[in-house]
Parts: sequence; structure tokens; C-alpha cells
Amino acid sequence: MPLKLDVIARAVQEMAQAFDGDERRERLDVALERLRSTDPARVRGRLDDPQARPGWLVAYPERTFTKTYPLPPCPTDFTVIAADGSSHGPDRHSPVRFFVINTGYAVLTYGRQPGAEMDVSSRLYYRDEDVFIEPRHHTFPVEGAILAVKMAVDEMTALVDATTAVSQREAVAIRDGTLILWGLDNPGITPEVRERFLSPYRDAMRQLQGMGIPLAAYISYPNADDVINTLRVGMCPDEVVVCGRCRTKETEGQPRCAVLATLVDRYLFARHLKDGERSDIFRSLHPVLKHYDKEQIVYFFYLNVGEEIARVEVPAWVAESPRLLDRVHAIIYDQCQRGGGYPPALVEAHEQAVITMADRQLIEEMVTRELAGHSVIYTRSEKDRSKRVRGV
Amino acid sequence: MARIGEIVETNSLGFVAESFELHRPPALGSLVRVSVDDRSLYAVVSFGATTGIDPGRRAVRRSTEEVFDEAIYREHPQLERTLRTEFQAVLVGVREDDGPMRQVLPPQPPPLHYSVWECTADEVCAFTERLVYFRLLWHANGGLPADQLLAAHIRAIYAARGDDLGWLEGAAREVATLLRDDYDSLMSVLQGIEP
Repeated sequence: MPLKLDVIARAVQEMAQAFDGDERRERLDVALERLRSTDPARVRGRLDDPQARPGWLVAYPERTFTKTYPLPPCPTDFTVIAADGSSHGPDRHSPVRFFVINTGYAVLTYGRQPGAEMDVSSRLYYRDEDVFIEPRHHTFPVEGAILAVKMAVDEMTALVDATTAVSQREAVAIRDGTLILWGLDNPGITPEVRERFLSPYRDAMRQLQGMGIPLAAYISYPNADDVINTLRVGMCPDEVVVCGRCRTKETEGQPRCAVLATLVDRYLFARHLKDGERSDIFRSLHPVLKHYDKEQIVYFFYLNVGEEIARVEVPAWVAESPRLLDRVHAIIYDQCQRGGGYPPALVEAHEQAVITMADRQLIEEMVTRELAGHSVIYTRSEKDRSKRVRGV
Repeated sequence: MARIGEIVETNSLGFVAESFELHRPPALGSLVRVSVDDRSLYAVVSFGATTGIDPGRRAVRRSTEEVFDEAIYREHPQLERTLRTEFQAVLVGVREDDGPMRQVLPPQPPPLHYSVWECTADEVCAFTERLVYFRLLWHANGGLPADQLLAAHIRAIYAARGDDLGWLEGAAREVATLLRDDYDSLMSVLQGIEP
């Protein structure tokens, strides 16, 4: 049956009414005031307390909450290396378990000798140890968050491979998304499994550091709220921040910091940063980062690229170098100006990586044909067949 | 002579080739060659176009107050890799080994991915000694109005033959014979080839 549009239209109206822009603006005013008045040293002290147990992911305010950095001059001759991936499969309705990861890269050189190198590497994964986290028992298939981790690892390796096309001394390597492999923090991920994914990722990060090419992950329209959560820590009247034992929740009915709940960092920095400015740096306290090299721990800053507020994540060795931070800041801003709000190097890497519908059908056909050659009839699940045939 | 393109679509009447140089397809009306073993196929360039390689990606405006025209390509180096220039050519003749130039359609279309070459001055002179292929050109569906294609071709050959007035007069007579029943088209071609 078609979508019942009349029902949806009524619900859309209700949804728009329920969205109270004024109320959010008022809470944002509070957040902005907290950003300006919270003492970072005091928050650091509270977070350093070994008994502290904040209920959400928080950002460690390494320096200040409020300092802003104006746009540094962009180098004349520079190179941007970008990588992005896409995947096909795995499909649980199929008799063979496999997936394809397509990793594209773009190396764009600007200045006196402009140039572009772009390519893609495609890989089919089908071995038990590739498609199952527990290959011996065929349990925990690689899919969802773990497949995203696998793609991130391949993208990082592609970045390193693409550096062979770099001719400029001033280069930046960028990836779309986050540097934090949060999927490895899931329950069921044993240290051995974590190492299997993390080890090549770590190697690639070390190699980029060895070459002195700063790495940055670019997140457009970020939904992160780490800084907001840190401000909530700053508002906590309890002696030690343990959200599970919140006293104001008991005495006042809700935690005192609840006024900042549901806000995200980009609202805050949209009010705080002018066009081209970046925020100070913050250190992510994501638990998976304790397995990273110390020099690769993830820091981030927010950047007003003109069109929006972007989150830029960098490893510690970049965050600690004002010169490299300035380079990342200037080049990413410049990329966004060239790309109308989003870095063209990432667009081109994505265009290389994208697996079209026609490609997906071709992969399926190739698998069917090869399996038929080995007398395996490629029968899919009945549920899947019924969706494809859609008989009446 | 130089290799100028690679065939990406082909049929009995002509082919489409991707130009090796962005924005610089061979001149409209010029004679090009495809060599397949001992056979040379001759064709006249009938159309040129520059588009995005991916048909789903349209070109977007990129100029600013300071950056426009050629500077856009310096500031957006990926364009050299995401755009392509194609040209169409209509087949007008074939030569087997060292045999005579025959102004007929070849027995097979040129193979996909084969090279398209510029013709040497000698080849151009040899091929255009006879003009019966004008009829093939007139009836070709190359994407251009037939009178414009014919005029562009005659102009290109006149220049390639070193402003050979005698040849131009012969070409005008051939056009007059070909278009004796179509006064408007005839006048259009004649005006188009006036030196």
C-alpha cells in the first residue's frame, strides 16, 4: 500500500509545533554563559578525580573553553590527501557470506603546479576470519558498527598508500568521519579482536606521523555533545561527579545540569565562532582511546567554515603543534571555500569509492555465476525472494 | 602524427572518441583516421562536447570575483580528472593495405578503445582528391545541421591543403551537384565556404 500521506502530514504539523525554538534558544543562552564562565582548571580537577563517573562522554578541556583562533594564512603550495570508503554486503539472506569494501582516494595539489591523482582499491572479503569476529564458531558476523571500523581501517591504510603521490612539503591527510573507532568499545569485543582491527590502524597513524603529514578527520554537521557535557560537569554541585548518584536529582527532581541536556556542541560554537575561526582544542575521553598510542589520542576543535560548524579531529601529535594545527585549520577552511562548504578532496575520494546500484548488481551476478560453476545454486532467503518478486 | 583520442562508442556510421586533451577536440570538419591492422578508416569530426565523466554529476558554477576562466582549473585541479571532452566522427572512407582510398562505409565499425589519429597533410590531400564522400557527409546524422558540417569540413580541408583555391572551386561544384534540388541548403554551404 502507498504511504498514508494524510496521517504523515498531520504528524509533521504536530512535530513542528512540538519543536520549541524559543525554549532551545534560552537553554543555549545558558550554555553560552557557562562556556564563558566555567573555569577549565576546576573542571580538569573534577575529571581527574579517580572517583568521578560522569554519565556521558565528556571532552577534557586541555586549555580554555573560550579562546578562539583566527584563520591563519593558507600556504601557497600544498597538497590535500583524502580517503573515503563504501561497502557492499554482507547480506544475511545470501548463502555465502562476503562483503566488498571500496576505498577511494584523491590527492589534490594546489599552487604553482596544480594536479590531481585519484584512484580506488576494491577488495572482496570472504574468509571466515574476515567475515566473522569469532571465525571458529561462525559467530559475531562483521557488520554494522564493526564493518564501519573495518572501513575506517582500510581508509586509513589508503591514506598512507596515497602519500606516494604527494609532491608538496605542506600536506594534510583528511578522512570523513571520526578518528575514534568507537565500534571497538562494544561488549563482546575481546582484546584479541580489538587488536586485529586496531593494529593496522595504529600502524597507519604512526606512518603518517613518521612522514610529518598531519591527519585530520572532518565531520560535517556534527551531533557530538562532548563539550556541552563537560559544561554540565562544571555545573555539578556534588563533591564528586557521579551521575548515578546525582543529589540534585533527588532534592530538586532533576539534575541541575539538565538545562543543557539535548543541546549539541555545534549550536554552541555557531554562536561563539566567527567565520574562519576555530575553537580551542579538547581531548576526547572516549574509552576506546586508552588502547591508542599516546601520540595518537584524539583531540578535536570546532571550526566555522562559513556555511556551518564542522568538527575536526586530530591526533595528539598534531594537537600539540601550533604550526600543524594552523596548517590543518587553514587548509580545511580553504577546502571548504573551494567546495562550497565541504572539502572537494573528500568529495572526490567519495566519488571514487561509491558503489553504485549497477555495481552492486554486477557483484551479485558475478557471485551467482561463479557459484553456479561450482554447482552451488545461489538461493536467497524466501523472505528476500518475496520482497523482490512482490506478487499480488 | 599524433594520437588524439580513444574510441568509446562505435557503429557502422561513425564513432565517439574521448579526446586526450580536455576542451580540445579536433577541429570541426577535420579528417581523422583509425588504423585497424592493415586497414585505415577515415572519418570527419562532426561534433564535440565537454561534460562530467559521471553523468550524474552536473557542472556547477565555480567562478568568483578573483578566480575565473582558466584560473578555475588551477584552483580546482580535480576538474582535469572529473571532466572529459568527447568528439563524434562520421565514417567516410576506407583504405585496405596500400590500396586505393575508397569513399564508402567500411565493412566493420572500428573497434572500441582503438586510437584516433590526426591525418597527415599527404593523407588529407590523397583522400580529398575525390569528393563523392560529400554525399555520405550530407546524410550523416552527426548531431550538427548537415549544411554546417559540410561547410566546416570544406573550410578545414581548404586550410589543410594550404588554401588550395582550385580544390575549393571543385568542392563548390560538387556541393552544387549534390544540393541541386535544395536551394536554401546550397546557399548556406556556399556562403559558409567563401574564403
